[in-house]
Amino acid sequence: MSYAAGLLLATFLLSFAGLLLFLWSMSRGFFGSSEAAGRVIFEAKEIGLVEDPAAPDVRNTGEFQAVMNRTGSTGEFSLLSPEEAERRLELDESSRLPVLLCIASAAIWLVIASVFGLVASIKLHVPDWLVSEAWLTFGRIRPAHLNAVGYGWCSFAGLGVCLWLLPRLLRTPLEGARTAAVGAVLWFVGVTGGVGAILTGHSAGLEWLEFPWQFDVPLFLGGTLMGVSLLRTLAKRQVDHLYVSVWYIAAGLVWLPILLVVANIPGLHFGVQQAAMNWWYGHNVLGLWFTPLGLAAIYYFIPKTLGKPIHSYNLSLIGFWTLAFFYSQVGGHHLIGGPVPGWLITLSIVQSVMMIIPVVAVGINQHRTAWGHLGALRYSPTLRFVVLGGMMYTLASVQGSLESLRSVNTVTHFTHFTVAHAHLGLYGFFSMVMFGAIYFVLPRVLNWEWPYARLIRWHFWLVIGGFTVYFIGLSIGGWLQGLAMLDANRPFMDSVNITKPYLLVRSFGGAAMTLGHLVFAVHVAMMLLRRGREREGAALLRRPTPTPRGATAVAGARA
Amino acid sequence: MTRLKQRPHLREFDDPEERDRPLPRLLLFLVPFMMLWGGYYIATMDTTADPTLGDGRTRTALMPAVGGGAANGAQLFTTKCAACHQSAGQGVAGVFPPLAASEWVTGSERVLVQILLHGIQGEITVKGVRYNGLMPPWKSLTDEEIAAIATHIRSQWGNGASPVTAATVAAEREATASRSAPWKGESELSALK
Ligand code: HEC
Ligand code: HEM
Ligand code: HEM
Repeated sequence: MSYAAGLLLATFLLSFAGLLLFLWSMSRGFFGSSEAAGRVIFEAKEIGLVEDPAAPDVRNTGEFQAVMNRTGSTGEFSLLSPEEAERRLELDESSRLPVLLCIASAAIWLVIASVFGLVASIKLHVPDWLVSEAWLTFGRIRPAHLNAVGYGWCSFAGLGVCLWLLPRLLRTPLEGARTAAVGAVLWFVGVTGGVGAILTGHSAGLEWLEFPWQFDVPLFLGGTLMGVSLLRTLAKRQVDHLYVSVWYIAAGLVWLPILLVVANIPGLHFGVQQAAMNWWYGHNVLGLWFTPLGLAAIYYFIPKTLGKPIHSYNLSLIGFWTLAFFYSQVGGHHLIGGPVPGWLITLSIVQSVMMIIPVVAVGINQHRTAWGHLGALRYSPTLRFVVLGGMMYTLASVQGSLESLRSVNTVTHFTHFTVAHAHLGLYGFFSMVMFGAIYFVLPRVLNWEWPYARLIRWHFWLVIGGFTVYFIGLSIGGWLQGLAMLDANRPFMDSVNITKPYLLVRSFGGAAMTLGHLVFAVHVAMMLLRRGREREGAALLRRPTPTPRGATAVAGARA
Repeated sequence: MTRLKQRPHLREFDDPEERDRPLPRLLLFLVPFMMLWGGYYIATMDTTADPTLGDGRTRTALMPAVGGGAANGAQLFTTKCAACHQSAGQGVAGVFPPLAASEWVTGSERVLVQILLHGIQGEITVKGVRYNGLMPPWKSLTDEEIAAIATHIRSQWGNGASPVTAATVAAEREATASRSAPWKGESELSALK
């Protein structure tokens, strides 16, 4: 065994011993009972079902309990009292401006980015389409798609949801909402400028870091302003116990600026080291920025809409700390086979597989919370998107762990299989969760219901159907492509020709997704402009049957 | 702002909390198992690659060994020569001479290497047909690459001449190192034989 390998092994075993110690002390209860601490935030607990003039049919009726039981709610959480609801309204109002800015920007970028993606996708099987203008060529449209989804849609959606969640979870009005709003505007400027620079041929050339540094500056400043406002709120919090979503959000907010700064220092990175830094950054943006925001939202919305506590505090702890511990070192698995020192790649592969621990912990926690209540998915749009997103998180991660093994990566690396995985993660998991979250957040922030349940239904079926076709088609095509490339007896062109039908299928799936995004964006615009039908009560995906008057109101609790 | 009679907030549940439960068995078994696997993977990793390489590697160190390998010659031929001499080596009548069954290709390997190194500008007869065009020089390619191309064209399309080694190319390059102009057609080339 070489010196490097020996050192690596020793470090690995030592740090793992730390993890075992952590688990042991946890099973001994050294971390104390969480429930006692947790209850501090929930003032209504002992009140039970309260006077609720707005929902008089609901209270103390047999129907109420019947519906709770039927749709699976255990009724462990009570509905809010008017005073509590008033308080919550104030919290939501404190963050209204930046939240709306972020969500509106997210919807805009979602549509633009999807169109870019669709154009790039069609070009892969109709290569002569739209080639007369330089800015429309694949080499520009594709990075424009990537950056528009990453920094436009995903980041804006994540920031908007965080800005709304933190005040609620901390029971503290958002500090410096105007600063945060300025931050959102700066972020928008950065993304617009960066995508424009890519389209006009001024890409910086490293994947995920294509924006020229001039546009990283407003991005960094904007992110910092929003982050400062959130961290100031954290400092003023009026609760003792921090709910698990808060950990993820706070950590993500600290990690992102570090990543942005280290990766963008000009003149520091070159050669192989630059490649290693590139993927250290690339994977950390996914793992330490998008993933924590997505998980924070899942951890909030599943129990919230079901009215049921999270399965286990201990699992939350393990899931968070092991993610923080393992994820930062997995970037090397994007460079397997490249001219990078072998020990670095081995470390990244081992840590990628170790990610199974947080993924299993989070998975058990989320799925055990939702399990047995899946019937409620038929009614609540939020729950539908968020629960499916949670399942796809587990899937994407397990797939990722396997994909990082050398034997599998040899087949998949230069193929569309990687792209399918990328969409399972950033679309199936993250984007789905954000859709669900936005369906919950906007009515609260605007005090206006979603005008058309039918549009939500269209959105859901278009994106889920389109995505299924997209993912399955591309995974099969990518795998066959990889096998064809490895076969030395077949000419390279075989590996290209073999993917053609699958690329066509992807364009169809992608077109459905894009259409779904348009529906969603139009609906968001209607909300913002208060257009469309005026509605009292939640826009549920279907009416609970048979429809006792109380049932509607209670099922509405889940939307 | 208009307030709805039934605000969305009023049908909300409390904010979520977490239950206190012991860790599931599955996880307690999983963690040590993962630890063993990780240790095993690191201990058995391939450490023949020098971890200090990184940026210190040259282009040749990163490239697989070439020595007249058929695959490489074919690839180079496609990228460098096929545009003029066509992929089947048949050339274009009156403009680009054929390589298939050409006496210049299958004949003296020294002359072939000289043609490839410096190119031709002047009259040349190939298979009884006269050509007067410009064949570009390929001096910038490495000895291995020129050897691979020469070997390739000598073995394709019915040609059956012996392979050319990188050492031959190196010697020929050395011998005409001072030359900068292309060979002036057949006359000068024949003198080389
Ligand atoms: C720009 C077009 C062009 C390219 C590219 C080119 N050649 Fe030529 N080649 C010619 C022409 C024209 C002649 C004839 C020269 C003359 O008429 O003086 C020729 C002549 C030759 C000859 C001698 C005549 C014969 O047909 O046997 C050989 C051998 C040859 N080329 C090999 C190659 C090889 C190998 C390559 C790739 C490394 C190559 N050529 C690339 C244009 C080209
Ligand atoms: C345990 C968790 C995960 C592991 C081990 C993992 C592993 C991998 C591997 C091995 C690749 C392919 C590298 C290559 O061959 O080029 C990859 C690509 C990718 N993964 Fe994951 N993945 C995980 C989870 C996720 C999640 C949760 C997301 C989304 C938030 C995600 C998003 C992506 C993206 C976008 C790419 C493509 C990157 C690019 O080429 O631009 N992954 N991942
Ligand atoms: C809005 C949600 C979407 C997200 C978050 C997303 C994310 C991504 C990511 C991370 C990549 C980089 C993959 C990699 O490097 O491995 C990518 C590439 C791509 N995406 Fe999307 N995408 C979305 C929607 C779409 C849609 C609707 C289409 C339409 C078909 C599409 C088509 C493409 C194409 C063609 C590529 C380039 C693949 C390649 O280079 O081979 N995407 N996307």
